[in-house]
Amino acid sequence: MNTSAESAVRLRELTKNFGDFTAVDAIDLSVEAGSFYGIVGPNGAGKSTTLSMIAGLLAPTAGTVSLAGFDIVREREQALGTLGIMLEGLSLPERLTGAELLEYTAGLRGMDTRWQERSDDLLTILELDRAPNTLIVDYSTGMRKKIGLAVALLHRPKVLVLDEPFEAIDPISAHSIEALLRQYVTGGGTVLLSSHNMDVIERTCTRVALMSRGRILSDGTIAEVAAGRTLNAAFVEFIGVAPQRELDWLS
Amino acid sequence: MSMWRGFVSLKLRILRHGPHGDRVFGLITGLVVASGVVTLAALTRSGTLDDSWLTAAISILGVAWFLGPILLPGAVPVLNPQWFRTLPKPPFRIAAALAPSEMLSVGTVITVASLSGFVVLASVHDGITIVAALVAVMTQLFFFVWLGRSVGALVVFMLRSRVGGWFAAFQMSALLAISFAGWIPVAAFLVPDLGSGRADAYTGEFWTELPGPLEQVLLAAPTGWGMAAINAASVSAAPVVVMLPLVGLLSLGVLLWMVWVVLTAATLRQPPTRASSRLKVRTRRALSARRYASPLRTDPVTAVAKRELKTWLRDPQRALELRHAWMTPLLMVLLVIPTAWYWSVPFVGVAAAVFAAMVAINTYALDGTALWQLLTTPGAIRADVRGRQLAWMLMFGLPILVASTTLSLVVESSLAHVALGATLAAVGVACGCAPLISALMPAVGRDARERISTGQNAGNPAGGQMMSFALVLFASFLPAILAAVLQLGDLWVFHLIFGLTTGGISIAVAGPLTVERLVITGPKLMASIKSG
Repeated sequence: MNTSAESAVRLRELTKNFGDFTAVDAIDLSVEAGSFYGIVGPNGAGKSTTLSMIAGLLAPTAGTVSLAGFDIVREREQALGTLGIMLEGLSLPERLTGAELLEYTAGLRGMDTRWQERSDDLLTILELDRAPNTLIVDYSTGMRKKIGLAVALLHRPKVLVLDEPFEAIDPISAHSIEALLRQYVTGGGTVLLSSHNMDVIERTCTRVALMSRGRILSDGTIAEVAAGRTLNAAFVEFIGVAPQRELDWLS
Repeated sequence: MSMWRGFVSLKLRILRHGPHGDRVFGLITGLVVASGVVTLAALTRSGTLDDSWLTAAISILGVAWFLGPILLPGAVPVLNPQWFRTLPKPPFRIAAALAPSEMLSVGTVITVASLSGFVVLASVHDGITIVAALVAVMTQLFFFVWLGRSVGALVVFMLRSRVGGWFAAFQMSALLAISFAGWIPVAAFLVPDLGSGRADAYTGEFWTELPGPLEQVLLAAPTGWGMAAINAASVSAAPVVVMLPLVGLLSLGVLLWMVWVVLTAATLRQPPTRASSRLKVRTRRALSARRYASPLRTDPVTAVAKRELKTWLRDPQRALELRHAWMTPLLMVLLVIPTAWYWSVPFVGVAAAVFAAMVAINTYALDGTALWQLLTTPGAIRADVRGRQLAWMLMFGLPILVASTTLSLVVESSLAHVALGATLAAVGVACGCAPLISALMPAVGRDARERISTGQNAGNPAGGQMMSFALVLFASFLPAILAAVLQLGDLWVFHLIFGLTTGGISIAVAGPLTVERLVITGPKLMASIKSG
């Protein structure tokens, strides 16, 4: 049952241990409906693990995840019904073309007759209609991100969870994805994304959480977290940098 | 450290610290077989058995080295040559440096253990025979290892091209057909009237030794040259007669080693960029499919079945296995139909169901981390399991049933009712168990997004294949057993009803079991696929 209408995503004391290693350490996070929320942090900070738990692909060691008020463990089907997901480094049904994948996705979700119009729109906007006979397995990284986003958006979910959507893609593809996400948020959707790219976060997100070693170090609006600096400078200050010294043999 | 020592050290570390469940299983099974060979040698030494049996056993070991890479075309070496493509050395030198590490394997240990039977056999003779046996162990081992390695490299090389893929599929199908139905022409010769109910079988004495001509053939083949040298030494033949087969083994081994180095160097020369699958959906077909795609609400099971049918035709590993599943029974029909046992042709339907099950028991691992979509879409797992069953039935089950019925009518087999009952049961169990075993025993290889050809690691599903083989074969006996127990004799309708019931129950029960398995262990399965 939806008990917190204002929160699209709510994490309470969310924890994930892998043996003795704590990947996510009792984090609390609330993402308001209609917001564009970014999670940033260095490699190994626990961002992807957190998103996997939100997507229901990883069982938390402790704590809860609720999506649009539905608990991901107790009300799994309802919670998943509100969600669109794009995770980094995972396969898709690789032997289909982009159009076939969207048709399959619509069928799998038992979507009504609107799927075809949406599919055509997404393929056109994301410029995937230029490669109608190419299988997903042969897509470039940018095309793969775009079709992943199209799959996540096709059923017009309430919440979109995206793991590194701007990683390793060219600026043109990034621009298309950014534009589409803005349009989605303007229409009332909620985006929760992780990224290393501070510029993108600064440009697109309304709120940001800074994560390191499984904990949230700071969260708030971009201005609050940056506190008069660039977000990148704030990030480096929070996380700290490795000791620097001159290497003679490199000179 | 020299390059070859580096490779040997790396391989030893991988063998020690890498995943080794399959390797330990293979080692234990292989050592059990090797102990059988040594026991055979001991019985031969004591005079209880003729030494031709040991020749046969060693020949079978050689055939296993030859067939292994052909029967498991997706398997890749522990040290994948492609890892070393960017080393600043000529490919030929890298390949040559990799060669010593290829001698380190479970197969080598099992073969040494088996070949120690040579020394056991020679120990009743003089010192020269024992020395000859020791040399025979080394040279025969050298030959076997490079036979297996060069055949493996050749299969990988051939699978890179489409024509080569077809040839490799035909080769493997022919071997499977001969393995499973090769005995039928012999049996038909020995008991020609079995189809008419007359079992006038061969009643001569059992062999105490292999027939002379057969033993000569085995000793003339390189797989028997070690035994030939020991036999010659044991009768104090001229040194040249003892040396000739041993030098022959060494020479052939060196030749095969060179073949392996050349093929591995060719692999190392492949460009570092990721190649394409070379598969394009025809533009006109893609556009018209898009234009005429049904705008109506699609049933999830139908959507999965359509995805599966496309994947069977486009995934390189699945397409190869699809060819095996269809070519093998067709070749079996060609083997059986000219014999006096042509009446048994409708039973090929059971074999076809067995093969079709065996090629479909690793689809979840082959689809890889795409499993995330099923785990995160409400109701998708149930639709996926039923959709896979539906696709299997369309791709294999229904054609098998139609072909079996047609063959029964054409050859007017007196056992057609038994064959059709057995085929119905086998098809049902195969359809049900394929997704179930795929979820229970996934053999994880490279993720789907990284697999673009059959030469890449697609996992080794031998365990699941054996289980499906046993299950489907057992199910095919059930209708006839039930008819016999209930003393229904040749009432054909009962065979069909029993077959249909066995198959139907299997499909109905296996579906929910597969769904439950995926719901409970799906995330863990995905994590294991992701980590490779």
